[in-house]
Amino acid sequence: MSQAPTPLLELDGLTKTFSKPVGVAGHIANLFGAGIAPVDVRAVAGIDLTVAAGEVVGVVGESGCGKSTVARMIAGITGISAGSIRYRGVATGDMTPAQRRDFALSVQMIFQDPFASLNPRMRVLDIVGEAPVAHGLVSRADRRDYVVGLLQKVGLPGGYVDRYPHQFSGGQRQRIGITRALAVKPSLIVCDEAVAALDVSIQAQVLNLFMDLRDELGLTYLFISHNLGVVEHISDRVVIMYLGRVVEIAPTAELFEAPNHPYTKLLLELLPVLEAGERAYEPIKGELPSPLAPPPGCAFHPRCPAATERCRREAPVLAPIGPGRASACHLNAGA
Amino acid sequence: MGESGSGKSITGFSILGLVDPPGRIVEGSIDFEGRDLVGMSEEERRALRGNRIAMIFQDPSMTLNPVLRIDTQMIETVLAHRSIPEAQARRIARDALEKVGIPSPDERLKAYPYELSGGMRQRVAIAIALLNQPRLIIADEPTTALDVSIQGQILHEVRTLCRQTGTALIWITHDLAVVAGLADRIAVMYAGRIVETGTTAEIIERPLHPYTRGLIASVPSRATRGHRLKPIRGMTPSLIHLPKGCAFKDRCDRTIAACDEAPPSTVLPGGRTLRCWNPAP
Repeated sequence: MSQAPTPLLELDGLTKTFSKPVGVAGHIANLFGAGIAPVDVRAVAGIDLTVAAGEVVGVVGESGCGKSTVARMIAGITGISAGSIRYRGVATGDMTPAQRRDFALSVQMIFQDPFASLNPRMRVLDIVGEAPVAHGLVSRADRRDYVVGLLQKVGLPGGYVDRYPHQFSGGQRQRIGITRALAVKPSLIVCDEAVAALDVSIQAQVLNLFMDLRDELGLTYLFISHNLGVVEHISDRVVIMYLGRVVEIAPTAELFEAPNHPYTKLLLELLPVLEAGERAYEPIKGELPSPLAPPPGCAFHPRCPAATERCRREAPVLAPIGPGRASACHLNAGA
Repeated sequence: MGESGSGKSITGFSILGLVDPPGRIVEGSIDFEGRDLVGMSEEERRALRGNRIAMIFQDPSMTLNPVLRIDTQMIETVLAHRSIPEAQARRIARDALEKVGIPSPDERLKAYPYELSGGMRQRVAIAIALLNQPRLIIADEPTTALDVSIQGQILHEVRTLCRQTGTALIWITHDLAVVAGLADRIAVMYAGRIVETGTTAEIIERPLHPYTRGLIASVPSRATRGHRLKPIRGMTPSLIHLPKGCAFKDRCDRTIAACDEAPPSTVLPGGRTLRCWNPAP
């Protein structure tokens, strides 16, 4: 891991709470003493993570674990409830307007659904060219050449600038989404399930493109996915999330060879692999608990095969278990 | 197994006669228990659907009726094909829920679909498919919308149930890795045709069709870490503008002159079938 003096991105106790408001009916009921309180859901409950420049960090978790909310907070789409995001050492709250603008442009996001994330009424020229012109990165006169150059970089013919999104296939649309992100010269790209909607053969092309762009432009990626195979392929480090918390962080090879957290172990056992022969699936017991009513103690204990009395009472904290590795499990402390 | 647009779902729908007009079966036959399903009257088909042949769809929130309780939907399916007292149908429904691993099935019977999680809903859909002890279940990407941990459970349960009851299973998927651990045999589809069939071991370990080979090389895994993947170049052709001859020839790196003509399906020694002029060695 590169030991850069100032990491590119630091998340410190990042938390997002969504509130379900009481509502009109609830307020009226409260007038009669119903005592209905707003319900809070902690979608992300205190995440600490450091991302060095040039690194590819994979974030893995099942639906509802808060991985997309983390992505949206970093990209500035969703506000922060508590904690801080520091970019090049400066917290987002302390930024000057110039720094804030630089941060907003430097962090770009690529979305899951290439059909929903492109405006169907805009030409590629405008989809890709609007932001760099608005931010003064290129002049209106140079816009066309700039967009053509970017399209060629992602492997699309430059002649496609005047086309509309519906004229493209899913893989091509995702390339346009990537072009749009690249247009404002970002340093960090947040990919939220960016290849999940693509066919395997197309997915491989787009994954290769991500790696080429990283080498060429020195990009840093936060790669969010539920697909362990994709994450294992592309990431330097992997973060495993469960119910709004990080349960394990490790360099990719170590995580896949020697997972520490029981949840990580179970996920790896369930990962479908390309091997012939009947597999005996030992399914994870039960289901993902609702974040509305997380279990007491360790959130994973109802499904954990090794849960002890302590796991039911006390929530474990993410603690270092080796160089560059951390895991949130009581078993590491001898339960 | 096939990618989007390869015709795998339409194949499944055709067996059940569920293809919407203007789509229709123009040629060929579907032999099921000695009867040809093509040209069967709608009434006869109806007697088979949900009875001898059942289907599990991709998205359980679209296939369960949101305004009917689970028991209503299940009992209806039983009574549509059998004349038995309602109490007995309810018992069958309850047992089916228990079989697919739903905890406290008696309470779940009274639930509405929105009260269940995605994994539970898919289990209910599977339970409905099992109700009348079908001989064949067609499952169209039933785990694609689910999380890895739930997907593992469902794969395991469906396979066990089919083994126990001797039910045949057609599992339609785009994910080779999922079928690798599940299936006895695999048929690979490309642009509306089956291009290769064989046992799971044959297909995964010794693919013959260049498309199957390309697909396997495209799957990111431990072995590919830090390397570039070897994707199939180009994209899936539109079925309206298929290339002349072999539909895969524009993306294939083993194209020869013969590929200008569509390759026939050939049966290889050992029972594998293949549609390729110049298969991988």
